[in-house]
Amino acid sequence: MGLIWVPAAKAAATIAGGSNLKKQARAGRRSYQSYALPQRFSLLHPGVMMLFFVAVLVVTLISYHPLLLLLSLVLAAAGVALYLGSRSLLQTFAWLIPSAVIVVGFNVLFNRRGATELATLQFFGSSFTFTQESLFFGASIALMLAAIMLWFRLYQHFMTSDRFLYLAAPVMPTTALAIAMVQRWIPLTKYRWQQIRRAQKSLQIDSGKRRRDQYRALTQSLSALMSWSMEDAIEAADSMQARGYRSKKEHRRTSFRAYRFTSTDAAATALIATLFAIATVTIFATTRDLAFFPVFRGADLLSPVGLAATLALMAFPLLIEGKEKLTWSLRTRIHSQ
Amino acid sequence: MVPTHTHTQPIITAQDLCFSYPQATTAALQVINFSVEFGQFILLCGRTGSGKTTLLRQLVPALRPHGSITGSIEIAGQTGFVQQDPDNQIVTDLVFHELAFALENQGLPTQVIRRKVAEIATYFGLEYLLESPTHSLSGGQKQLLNLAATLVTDPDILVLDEPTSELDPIAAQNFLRHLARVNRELGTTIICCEHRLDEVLSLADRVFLMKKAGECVHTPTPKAAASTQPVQTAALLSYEPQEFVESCAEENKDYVLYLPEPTQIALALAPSDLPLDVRTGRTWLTNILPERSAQRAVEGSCVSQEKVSDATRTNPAITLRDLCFRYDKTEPYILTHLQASFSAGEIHAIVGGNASGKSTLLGLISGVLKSQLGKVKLTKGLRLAALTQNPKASFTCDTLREDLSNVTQHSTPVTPHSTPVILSERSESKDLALDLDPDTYPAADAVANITQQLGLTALLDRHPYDLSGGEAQKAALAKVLLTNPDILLLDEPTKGLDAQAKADIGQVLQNLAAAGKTILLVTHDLPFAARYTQTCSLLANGEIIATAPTRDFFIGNSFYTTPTQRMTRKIIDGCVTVADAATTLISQKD
Repeated sequence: MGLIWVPAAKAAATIAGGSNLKKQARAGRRSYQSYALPQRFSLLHPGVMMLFFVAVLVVTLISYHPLLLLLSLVLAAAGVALYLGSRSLLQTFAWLIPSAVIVVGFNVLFNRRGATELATLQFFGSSFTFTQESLFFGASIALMLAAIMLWFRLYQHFMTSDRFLYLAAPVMPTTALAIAMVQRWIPLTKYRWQQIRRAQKSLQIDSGKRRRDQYRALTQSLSALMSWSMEDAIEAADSMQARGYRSKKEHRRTSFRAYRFTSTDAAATALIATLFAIATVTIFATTRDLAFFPVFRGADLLSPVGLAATLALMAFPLLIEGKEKLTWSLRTRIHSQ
Repeated sequence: MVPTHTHTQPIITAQDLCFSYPQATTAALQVINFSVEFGQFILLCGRTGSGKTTLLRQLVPALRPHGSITGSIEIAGQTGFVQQDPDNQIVTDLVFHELAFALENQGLPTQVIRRKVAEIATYFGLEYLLESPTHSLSGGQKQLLNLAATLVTDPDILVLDEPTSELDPIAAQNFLRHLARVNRELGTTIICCEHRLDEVLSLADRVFLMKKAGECVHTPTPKAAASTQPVQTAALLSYEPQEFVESCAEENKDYVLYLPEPTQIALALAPSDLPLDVRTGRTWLTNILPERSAQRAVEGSCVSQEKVSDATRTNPAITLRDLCFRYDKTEPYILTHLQASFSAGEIHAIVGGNASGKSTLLGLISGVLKSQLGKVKLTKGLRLAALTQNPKASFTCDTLREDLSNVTQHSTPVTPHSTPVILSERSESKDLALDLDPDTYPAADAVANITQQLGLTALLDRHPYDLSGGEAQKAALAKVLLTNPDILLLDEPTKGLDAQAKADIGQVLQNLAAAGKTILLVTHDLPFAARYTQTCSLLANGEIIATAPTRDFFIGNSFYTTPTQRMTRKIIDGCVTVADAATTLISQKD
């Protein structure tokens, strides 16, 4: 059992540390597995994935109840830890926490509403009052932002360019192609930049010189990068033309990718849609009277049904991975017997 | 394919084709006549500037350049086009999308696209790469992808403009093998412009030779005139491969260097019935030496290479001790406990397979990369400079002149004494010693000197990107030499160069070594290493497995060695280069 999760964890770690494109490129060259992770969620139809992320984000955005927001944050964090590794989760928190502190701080300092006094400052003859409610409100907003950020982290991981294009291409084929070309262009430009810098360094043009000369060498390299890219773009344009791009205007561009919509996908769609409907309706109906100011009220407004639906919706990835894990652990047990 | 075609019918016919670019004073193509039969493999060659690319672009309707055209060109079929640079032709980010691109443009239904993409990927053995990002492929894989992405629409004619010039020899061979397969198995007509004649010549049905306006004085040989081709004119000559090779004995002498090594050896003795590859070369050799073939080996009469003196061995310029390196802690070691030393005044070559760590090793020596364990020791006071693989990366200014003077402004002289270096014997000022020290020579003089030595003076006011591959490589070398290095590191210095440019660069390197510089190059180009270096090392499995004087190194190998050695092994002993074999055979004859 453990054996199965070792490659998954390794692959996840590769992706997690993969902000560096070069590293990713090397990983990609060596092992193609890292692009097809052994994760059940990644086998779902892109439409189902998109539905899930839209549902989760909408529920998080419409719920002002701190408990719901906390739930969203915890489950999003669990998802990031599961799919991207705990290291990646810690890295995300490293900048989430400071930004949360800023959000809370701004609310406390500049939000004058609220009835419960926390502290009063005398400042050049005028008095400033900080309230408990503004602190609480700020904390809720920070929770929501953090939860959304974490969900987007997962979205980025799963909605790769090809999945996005599959969904977007029929609607906007030209934009879809442009995105694919940009995805190609970024590593290419990075590679060219590395080549130029390495060549310049080995010529010792900008080593140990005055700062002004170093800046000059840097701007020269940048302009070289521009002309190199433009020069090569001509060849790319030729290649596109030779392969019939824009040759027949009456044709609509079509798309290669086809994901099959399986019965599992249908079941998942039904489940997500139902949970989403229950969650939104109950959240709208019950927390309408939720208020932070002048005094927080509505802690008791949350219905158990809404809470359960939200929990089930957001735990969906955890549930299907759990099921997968269970299947494998049973199978390994049978095999080992 | 259109079934109405028969083998006698030409698929491309050009009659009195002339073409000139707008505002150009001279025509780019002058009165060209040729016809290509259905399913032929045409090799197009000619010097730089003879209009090869212009002609190829006339064959691709989507890419015809603007300009005035007279005469006629008829193309009975759809054309696909593959260019030089593997990177620039790739449009999208994932391999399957790249393969689907042309089909998407045609607006085919998804099901058809999927089937065709799967088909072509399986045919080229790319199916395991389908989901990979295009930027993670190697150069050879990228160019194969470009070929597959062009063929996916099933063109009748495939036009290729120096498709292997950016590839290392192994990847180039692999690409050409696939090209031959497309020609034989699919019957696609192929027109390929290529300077690696040694690989393509045995595949080609006909060789088209383009001549510049000034060169068209020759009348075609009687044999060529008698052949089935309807018209022969001076601007484009059409040969059978054997005919072409034989013509190199006389009117096309400057193409001898471009021929396969077995052909060159045979050409030195008899200008008829020439072998085109190693297999026919061995047969030819046993026929030439019938009485000797039973005794297996003839003693080579070549002068053996002078042994490296012990004094230089004990005082190496570069010492590598126990180098261990990997790019990331999650990755395996690329170099493990690597030991080596390189002495001054010599050219050293490091050879080895793809991804064996050759370029990594150069990076470690030049200091761009840092090893996790072990040490790189350079003799104190020696200046080091490196030439990267892509000469394009070396240029940052608008003209070559600016680029070169930029170096002299910024580099500081460190060496206490300077050595006069004569770089090239080909230049007119043979006796002009080049003093590289900027203290005694003002910067402008240094630039003027070095460009003259390398034959770049006429190119000084060009944009660096407008130079041809060989010129760009020489210009980048000039730039590196202007920093006045004592140790020169070169990464694949012959990549993309034609035979003449290789010979020029080799000559320059030999002169530098003779002046006491240490030159270390990594290369896939075994004939170049055999011809111009003093010692060779084989890098494999993260270590230097063997180091030997070049001749011993290549004689000891039977697979990873020069074509000459493969052709002569077990028949004549001790022949590594064409010159070796030719002198041995000539002395045998006498």
